Amino acid sequence: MNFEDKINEKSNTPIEKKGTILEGNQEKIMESHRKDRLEILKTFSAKLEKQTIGRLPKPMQNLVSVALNYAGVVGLVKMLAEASAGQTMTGEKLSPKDRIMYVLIQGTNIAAYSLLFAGDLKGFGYFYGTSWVLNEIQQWPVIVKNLKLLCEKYDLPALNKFLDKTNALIEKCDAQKILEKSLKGINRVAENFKGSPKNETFDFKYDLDKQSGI
Amino acid sequence: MRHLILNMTSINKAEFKKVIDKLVELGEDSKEMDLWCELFDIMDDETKEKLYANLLSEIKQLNKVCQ
Repeated sequence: MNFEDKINEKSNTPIEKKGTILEGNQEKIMESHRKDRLEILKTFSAKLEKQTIGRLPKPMQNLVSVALNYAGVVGLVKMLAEASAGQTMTGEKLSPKDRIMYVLIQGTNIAAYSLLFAGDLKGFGYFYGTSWVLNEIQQWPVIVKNLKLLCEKYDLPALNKFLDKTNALIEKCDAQKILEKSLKGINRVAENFKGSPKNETFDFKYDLDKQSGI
Repeated sequence: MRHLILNMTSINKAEFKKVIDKLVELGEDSKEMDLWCELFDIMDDETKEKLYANLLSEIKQLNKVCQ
């Protein structure tokens, strides 16, 4: 049977035109084939992912993963999923501290936008600021580490030197103080919530020097 | 070499388009079908064959129902 025969097989029977109501059987056939097509597409997407992200050097994969954390809702879903799975999309294990940080970053981010929509600009500022600070504290060491690995791989001594200098500058900043200040801001905002008792504020102490690595 | 590999698949776009048109004629969603046409160019041979088989099977079954 040639190609024309294949598609015209039994086509001498009346064919329902577009716009007419399809029989239940036809709908079922179409639906089941659509589902199969979606499965085919999923398999193809997985292949495509392997061919693209999978071909990148590992440090580059990690940088793509970090970049996605900054991508709005994608970052939100990705980070929360990674926190619950305990590893990143590139297979890097997350420490318990990393998982808490991931949830905190996106938790404060959600709170910030909730306050923004509620019209509390001050609250939004505090929460968004905290989310931003937490994110930088969490992501910066990963970014620098992977960029440095790439510098070594592709022999880029100038960029490597620049990264060392930037890292030294960041180390001079008192990240612990910045974080504490942001969290104090959150405490103040939380205390101002109507009806919430004063003792139910965010009491968050974090040993940053020991755990963040910066 | 790449040219040779690309030509190895038995399904070409014109053939694929005919199948798509037939399905639209049978009542399939034309927007979905257009999307598959767009995706055809970036698909690997295995996926093309699977998709082609899926579309042909749908035509066959729809024709049976219409009989």
